[in-house]
Amino acid sequence: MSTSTFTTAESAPETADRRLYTAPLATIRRNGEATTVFLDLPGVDAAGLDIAIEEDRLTVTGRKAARPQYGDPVYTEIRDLDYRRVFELAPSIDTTRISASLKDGVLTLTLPKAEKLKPRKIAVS
Amino acid sequence: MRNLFITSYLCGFAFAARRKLWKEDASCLFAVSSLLIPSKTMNLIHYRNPERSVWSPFDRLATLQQEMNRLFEGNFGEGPSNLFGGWNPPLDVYQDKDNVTVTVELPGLNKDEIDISIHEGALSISGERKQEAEKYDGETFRSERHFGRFLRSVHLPAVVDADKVTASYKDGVLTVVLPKSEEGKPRQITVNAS
Repeated sequence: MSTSTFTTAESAPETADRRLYTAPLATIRRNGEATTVFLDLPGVDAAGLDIAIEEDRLTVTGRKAARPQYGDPVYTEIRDLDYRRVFELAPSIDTTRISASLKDGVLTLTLPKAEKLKPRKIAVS
Repeated sequence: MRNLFITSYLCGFAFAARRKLWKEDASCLFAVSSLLIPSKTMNLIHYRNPERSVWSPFDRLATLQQEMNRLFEGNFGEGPSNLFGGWNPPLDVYQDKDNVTVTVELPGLNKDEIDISIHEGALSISGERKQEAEKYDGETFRSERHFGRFLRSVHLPAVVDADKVTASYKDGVLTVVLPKSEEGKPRQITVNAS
């Protein structure tokens, strides 16, 4: 699965030039504090990255930075598609504290659990 | 006679090992396989409980479809197959009159973890992506990304000057620029009138 798994044409915005996207590969982990999503976005820099939250949907769109002209292609496997993936957020996630970092083509999204949902001890007075 | 016996024994062993490989990887493709593979070989394919599989069969089908597309796109028919496990990071080769340029998508690596070597006109790029680098206490409930060792080798389309090769790693993409040596550059030969 070196390139795409699914193209999400059906969720792509209706524009004059319909674009095909490829879904970046993800790892999703969770502990008591937060859910962490790792996405492989090789070729995308911070300027080409767009993360949007709308209602309960988190959309990650990554545009590959323009590559210099290297000449004529001899052999190509890398697909020249932008990345897009939509995640549905659980109500337990505090959408105001979502943070993201991008390093070496890997995007790390931290989705903290809402404070009110964390286990609490109630002291008896 | 004894030699023959040993040989056939080894063959049987190799066959058994191969069969195991099939069992691991091909079971998810059972639904398709039954259509594609003649019934004679059906006994090689064992159905595995899908719940034991990390991947949903649909992911596998998507991969199969992608592989088929790639075959028909005509990439010389020798592109890497990743249907049967392993990680083959995608790679592009370009050339102009001075350089051969190879780019590989390798997200999340340290530049020290990438080995690049040239031997007899072939460029090899290898390394390892370690999952431990992402420390995390908690459960993983979806894991699609590739980790582990990889090796890609390509035959270079021209003779290059191995001493002048440069490589850079940015945004998860490795770019190797291999300047062509004088003998590898195209030359114009003028025809002398005699």
